[in-house]
Amino acid sequence: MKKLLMMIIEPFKGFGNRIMAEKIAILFNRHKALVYVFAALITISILFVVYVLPHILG
Amino acid sequence: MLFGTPVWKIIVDAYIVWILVFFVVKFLVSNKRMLSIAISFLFVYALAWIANHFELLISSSILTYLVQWLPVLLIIIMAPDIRRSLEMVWKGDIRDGSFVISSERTKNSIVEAATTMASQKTGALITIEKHNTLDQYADRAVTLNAEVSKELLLNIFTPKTPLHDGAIIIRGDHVLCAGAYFVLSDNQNFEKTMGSRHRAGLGISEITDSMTIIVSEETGNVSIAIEGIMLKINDRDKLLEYLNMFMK
Repeated sequence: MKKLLMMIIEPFKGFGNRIMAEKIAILFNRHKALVYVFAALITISILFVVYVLPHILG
Repeated sequence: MLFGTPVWKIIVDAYIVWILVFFVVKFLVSNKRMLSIAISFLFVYALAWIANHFELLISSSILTYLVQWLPVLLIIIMAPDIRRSLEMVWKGDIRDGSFVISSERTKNSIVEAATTMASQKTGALITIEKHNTLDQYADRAVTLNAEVSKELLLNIFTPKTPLHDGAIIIRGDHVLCAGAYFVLSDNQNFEKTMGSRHRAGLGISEITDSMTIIVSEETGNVSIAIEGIMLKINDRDKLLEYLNMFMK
């Protein structure tokens, strides 16, 4: 079962390659405040989509 | 009122969303493997959105089905990593205070013990902590808090003794614990013949900034695992050099 699941997920694991993930992880580890800033940016985006966008679209 | 909603409601909403997003981001960036899977998921979701948007019949139906099952697959395959990441989110992965510096005596004891065990073909797994805490592993192992000495290390890894099977964790000049177990590496490039001791050493080096010395029971070879890379070191001076670089 696990092997079958691995076969399905392996190509996607390949795409989300370690180098990219590693670079991001290192960046976030070096600059601790980045997690707070990134979370704030995502929150602002969510708030914009939920509260502002419906008003803009009418 | 702002956008038809009371301002206080928006502020409270924003605060709660920010906390949730913060934990999700911290959860993902605390583990490289989790992050790489998350990136793959983003790719799949983007692909599914494109397929749906352009009404690509076959790919959209396949991708929609896949998107529904991806979270389940993630939980099944990544269970140990999810557990570890959750622990790190709650406990934090960086130790309070600065990195503990080891003395020359400790480094020499580790090298002496490793070379002795290599000559006797005694398996050993010695993990040296750096900035990322290994407390979550130490909590489940046998606490020692003993000063590092060649004799102690040799005694711990003596075959058929209760603590010889797991890893020891060294913090500064102390052996924090013995009999610790790590998540094994799933690195596909790694030789299939390598045992679980090597995979454990590589596994911990992939997810923390620690260094692990592995002595093979079969060949007596000494290897070090650091930053997800395994290096075979059969020279005493070279091992000491690496320790000096790592523990400086």
